[in-house]
Amino acid sequence: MYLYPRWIRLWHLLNAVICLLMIITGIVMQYTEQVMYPSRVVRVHITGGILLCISYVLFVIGNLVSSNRKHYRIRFKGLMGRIGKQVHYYTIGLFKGDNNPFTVTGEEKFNPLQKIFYVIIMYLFVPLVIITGWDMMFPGFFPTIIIGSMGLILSDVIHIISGFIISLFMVIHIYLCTLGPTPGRLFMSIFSGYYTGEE
Amino acid sequence: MNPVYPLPARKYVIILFLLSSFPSLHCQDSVNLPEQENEWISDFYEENEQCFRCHETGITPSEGFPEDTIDYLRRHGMLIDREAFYKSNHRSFACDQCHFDDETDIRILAREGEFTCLNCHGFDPANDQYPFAQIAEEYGSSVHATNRSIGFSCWKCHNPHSYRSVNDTNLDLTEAVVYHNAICLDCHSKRIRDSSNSRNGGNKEFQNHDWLPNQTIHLSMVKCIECHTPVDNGIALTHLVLPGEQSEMRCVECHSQEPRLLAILNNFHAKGQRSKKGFYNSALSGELSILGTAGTDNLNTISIVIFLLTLFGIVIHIYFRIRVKRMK
Repeated sequence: MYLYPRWIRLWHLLNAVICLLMIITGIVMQYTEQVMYPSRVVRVHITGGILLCISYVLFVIGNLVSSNRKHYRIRFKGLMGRIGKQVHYYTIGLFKGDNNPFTVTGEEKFNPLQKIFYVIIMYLFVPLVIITGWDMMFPGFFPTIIIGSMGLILSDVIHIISGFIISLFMVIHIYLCTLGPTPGRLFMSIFSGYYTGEE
Repeated sequence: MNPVYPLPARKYVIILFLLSSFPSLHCQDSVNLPEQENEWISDFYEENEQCFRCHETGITPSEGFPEDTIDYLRRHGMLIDREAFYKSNHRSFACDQCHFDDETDIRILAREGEFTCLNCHGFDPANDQYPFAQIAEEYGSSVHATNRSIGFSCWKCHNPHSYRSVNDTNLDLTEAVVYHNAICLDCHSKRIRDSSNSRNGGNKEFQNHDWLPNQTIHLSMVKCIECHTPVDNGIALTHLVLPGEQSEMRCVECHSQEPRLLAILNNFHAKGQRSKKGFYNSALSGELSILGTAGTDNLNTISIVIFLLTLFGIVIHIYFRIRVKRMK
């Protein structure tokens, strides 16, 4: 089933490379003392951050002008029940040979669990990480407006926590992509555009 | 002949910022200092007024006191701001207590060459909180003292007619920074102005800070001496002003989880706030946040634990997937 049009595949590839770059340089800065402005790590992180902003703008525009936005619409009625079923499948049903409670279609390509996480990541944490990142590039702008003083530490903490959550998401996202007919099959989908089903 | 380097627009912005700020900054009263008691009147007020009649900054020309004379007094630092004097540390003094030579029995105006702070303060037990002997030693090693061509003395920073020591705990950070930097900028802003006017590839004074990112914020939030004196918590080392090339240029001294400069930066100011509200509260509500310091050990530990738990969950999941596959 052809699910991923060319622009989404290109955007996804670009976004994946940028996110990996940001996570690696972010980890180096967070867990070592490599926060010196002229250091290569910081330069790469700043450059990656600007590219991430461009990538995010492309994502928003793409969803605004294409039908892809429908995949991010959450139906709240019965949401918890559907999420519960999906969690049960991934944690128990998968090992008992149960069928996936969600069927991928052209109208709905994300299961309820994917959808809620994608929306939270793409429409909450990525904007947060971008806004706080800009604030740290141009210190003192946003929090001055919001809390009336230069609360860089607020931006710093939000940036770190948001970045960490996006990193966790990326790890889980990559792992769940191994749940195809073979561990590598779903990864091919994002190159070919064709969805080939899960285990 | 040295080449002329055009200044990028950014530099002009920063220079304009500095120059426009300094005229108001080098008058320390521009800082909102804590109020002193309003009703205080010097015991020597009337006596001092006899001096201020001719030596007050606001004096205007009159018969027998022409403009030329006032200009001369002004150029030679012989005009004193009365208001600043009566707010200064020396406000309770009579002019004659310093400007009178007991041996010759005459008044002496220029005493800068004769006295340093130590002459009066050096051995006074009342000043034990300030280690003047150590201050003198550190000052003696500083670029101010070793570079004799600049003719430096204590009085360049601690003008006896206006200097007022301030307890930083009563100021917020920006006011404390402005107050302290105004002392440096009183001389150095003139040098920046002179060098930026230079046509011979000058403006060295400013170019030395060219490496510093976000200059406006750094210059308004960090005391000059934080980088231009050795890293230490003692007051004496604030007098060991280093040459530019030996000054602190390592960002991590502030921007790290154990920032030594941060501790000093907030040494006087933040103690009060930190003890009252705790560091993070004061940081969130105040101006103390410094990039790169938010990665506390606790935050790092929690994130590593969560990450390891996630990896552990994935490994367990993989294990059961393989096991189920083999059983099929």
